[in-house]
Amino acid sequence: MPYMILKDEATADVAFVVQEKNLKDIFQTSAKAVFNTLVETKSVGKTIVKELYLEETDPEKLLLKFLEEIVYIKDADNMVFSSVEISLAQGHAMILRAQLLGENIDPKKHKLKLDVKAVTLHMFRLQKKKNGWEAKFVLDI
Amino acid sequence: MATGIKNIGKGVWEIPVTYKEGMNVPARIYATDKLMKGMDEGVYDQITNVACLPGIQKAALCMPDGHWGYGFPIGGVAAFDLDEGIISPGGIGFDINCGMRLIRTNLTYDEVKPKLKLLVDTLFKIVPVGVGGKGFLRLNKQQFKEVIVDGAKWCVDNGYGWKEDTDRIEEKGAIKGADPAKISDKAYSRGMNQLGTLGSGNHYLEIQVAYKNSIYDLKTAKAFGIDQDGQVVIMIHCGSRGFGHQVATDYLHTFEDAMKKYDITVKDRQLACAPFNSKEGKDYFAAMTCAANMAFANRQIIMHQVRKGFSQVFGRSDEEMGMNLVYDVAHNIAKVEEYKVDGKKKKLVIHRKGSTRSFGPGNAELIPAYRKVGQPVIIGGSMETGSYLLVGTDKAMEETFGSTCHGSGRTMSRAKAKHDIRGDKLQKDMEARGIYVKAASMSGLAEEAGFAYKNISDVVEAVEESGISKAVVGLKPIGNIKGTVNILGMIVPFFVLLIVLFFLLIL
Repeated sequence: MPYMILKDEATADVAFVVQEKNLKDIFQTSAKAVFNTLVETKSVGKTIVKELYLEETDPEKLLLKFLEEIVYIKDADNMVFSSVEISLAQGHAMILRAQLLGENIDPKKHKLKLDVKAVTLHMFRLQKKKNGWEAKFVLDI
Repeated sequence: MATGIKNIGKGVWEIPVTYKEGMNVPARIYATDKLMKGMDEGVYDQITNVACLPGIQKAALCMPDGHWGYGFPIGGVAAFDLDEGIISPGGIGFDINCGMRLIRTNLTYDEVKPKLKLLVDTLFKIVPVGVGGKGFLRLNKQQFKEVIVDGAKWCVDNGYGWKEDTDRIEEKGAIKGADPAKISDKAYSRGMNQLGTLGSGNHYLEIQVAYKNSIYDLKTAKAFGIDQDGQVVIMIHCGSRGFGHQVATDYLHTFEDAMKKYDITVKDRQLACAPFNSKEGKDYFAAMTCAANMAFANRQIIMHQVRKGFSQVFGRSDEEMGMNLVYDVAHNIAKVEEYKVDGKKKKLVIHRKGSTRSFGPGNAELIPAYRKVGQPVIIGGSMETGSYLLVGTDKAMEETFGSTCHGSGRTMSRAKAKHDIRGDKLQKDMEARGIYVKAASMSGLAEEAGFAYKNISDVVEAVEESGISKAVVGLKPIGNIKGTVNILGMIVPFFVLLIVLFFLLIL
């Protein structure tokens, strides 16, 4: 299981830990954790593609910005997502290019779950571990 | 229980400044012995983190419904000096001015019971709920800017309410100092279409009944207009939706940078803050006020829809059914209020995160009928167990910066609750007990099961024991709408399909 919900942490919200071999997969799996909190992703098609370009000084800040952007688009464009394609590049800053694939929210089609208000900074971290990378974050529900 | 914690009075526990390095004041938890035994360990860590913040006055407080949050614990209250203190979005929450609204009716349970399902289904259709969720109002940016300055007054001026409504809302539903220029384009585009929507999670619209044996203070209950056996009332719990969430997100980043500038360190990144009197602090306070006013307007629009739904179902006007607003009160907010510190009156910035204002009798902001008894305090319980209407006290003004509890408080994480019961089973069990719940997302429903919360009666016992508010009426749920999908979208295509099939058969 590339991500896990921490059942004993953040009583009113949802805490995740994500473990992957590389940074790209950490971003991809973290995004999927957010998608799955909002909706049964199997019920969502891939008719709309949202292109994202984000840059930050370090990967932890970039991950936070990326997850916040997903939560923002959900409300601003009234969308839920089923999958994501990511590429990362390191220049002066760390650059993320992403394609979010999904649809406009349609209650008669999508199995909607819980709304996500925000990505909290409480316990937010992205760390290099012996065998890869680990991210931890709490979504405000 | 935390090391060194001691009981310092009836229902009040103190964690000394020696508990953690950097504590400027002690931390105090309001709870009965029973609640203290079950108190979430995260509360001790988080409330003592709050006690370390610059400019904090007297003590960092946690109410009896306290539990692990982010930054502040849920149930946290803290007051800061205007000159030396800070303001922190982590002490307010992402859902700025999440709050409660209570509407009375002169209908009885016997009148409502035969039409309960129709009533709940009708309200479910006209009050949008769940992920995303767009309201029926289509406002341009200029109109939305008027909403975030004028709050509930804008709604009443535009036909969404009664003139008397605004007198029965904290700050009359429009806090002064809102500045739309301090709001990002992202916050506008995220929240402009969500006015009049409930949201998801623990947000709800509930039909409740007040029974004679649950009226604890008849004089105050009469003043609040809820004094009949079997009287039906409606409770609304929601906040500032995506608009407020984005305002908090934006300013958290501003404050992370500002802390370096002002040389402030905090124990949890979510406590990112800035001096209240700094440019960053003032900007956030003006933006937060916009979000607070949006939340007052949001609950006003929902109430308008509720009145409309009741009129449709019962064939009588909302005035005939006596659908007066009892009160609307915030439980996630920062406000400048005046309290005594070391015997002297002082203006302070009060943070309440999962805590309700609890003004005692005599406060000039209250309408004359309430001024004699104190401010109504609306406490939402779990959808299974019931809720309470309390009243504010002088003791709260003296001890807790005019604050009290806000609800039951969770004891179990969402993941655990979902693991322990299926939503569809819970829905059937509740219906057998006379509570009709409309919730299409069954996993979301399971997460709100009654066993995931503290016993609300224990929480009310704790605030009564310490004297920071008094029970007036206990309210039992009979119908509940949870933040899930809107079935209107399912019904319309179904009828279209029926019509198409009808014509195909004829041909």
